[in-house]
Amino acid sequence: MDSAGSIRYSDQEIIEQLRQSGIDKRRSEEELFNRFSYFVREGMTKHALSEDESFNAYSDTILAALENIRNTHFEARASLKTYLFQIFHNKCVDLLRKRTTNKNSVHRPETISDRLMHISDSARSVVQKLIDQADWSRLREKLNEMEEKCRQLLMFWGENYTDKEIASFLQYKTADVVKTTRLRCLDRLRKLYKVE
Amino acid sequence: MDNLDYIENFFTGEPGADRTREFEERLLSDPAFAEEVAFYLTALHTSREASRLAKIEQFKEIYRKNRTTGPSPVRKLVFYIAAAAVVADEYPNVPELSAIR
Repeated sequence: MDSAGSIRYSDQEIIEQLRQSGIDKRRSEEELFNRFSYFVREGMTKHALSEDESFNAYSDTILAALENIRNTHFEARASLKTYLFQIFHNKCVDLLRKRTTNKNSVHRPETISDRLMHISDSARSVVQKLIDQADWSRLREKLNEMEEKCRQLLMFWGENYTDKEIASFLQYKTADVVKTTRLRCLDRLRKLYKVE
Repeated sequence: MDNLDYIENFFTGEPGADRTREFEERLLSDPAFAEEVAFYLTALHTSREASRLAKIEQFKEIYRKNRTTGPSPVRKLVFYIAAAAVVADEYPNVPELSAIR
């Protein structure tokens, strides 16, 4: 137990719980977030970030770590603290760089360009042009307007969870049912987005 | 919806040269299909972003709660001093603990 009276899990215990589904997973996410939340203060003192900036860097650190732990990219060669601190440090440096360069750039991760990597330049540029013309805020708005079940399915999909994992989280019978329902939701979102 | 299934299978599987060529040809010749591909990728990114924002909100809530209810450094110090005083009372014959007593 720590001084605040809560149970202190070992790195290995946290990692195992994060790789499971269910209530323990959410608790472990909170445990991980809480354990190193003092990094926020370090970001403020060592990198001269505002509290909001440092909090964002720390939140992004935890999200990146959660994904890497889940898809086993994190091999536990270093302690969680060392691993997280390295990511956090890089995020802080990125933030400082962004401050001085493209302040107004939109945060768009690499997922899109990654997926277009395997097609020819001419085909890619057709899709890229359409993506650049997309009304992102309208799409976000329409996603938020969808019923809870669809929104949850699409958000898990966005987080790169497999249909099998989603089936276990949301208690669907099989991964195939998840896929069919998810694509139906996606189609519904497309129609909502297209209607003027 | 059939197209979305086809698009997803292309992006999540490992399409061979023939399937890739077919996919590219459709992209170049069928604007409606190209639009669906763009939508699929945009929706994937938007869902990812929505999920990220929801998680950050959850973290914000925890952070805010801990900032207001978590033990302050002074409270922690009081706790440690009180604990040390109890130990000192338990062992009256230990000279090193006399300062705390």
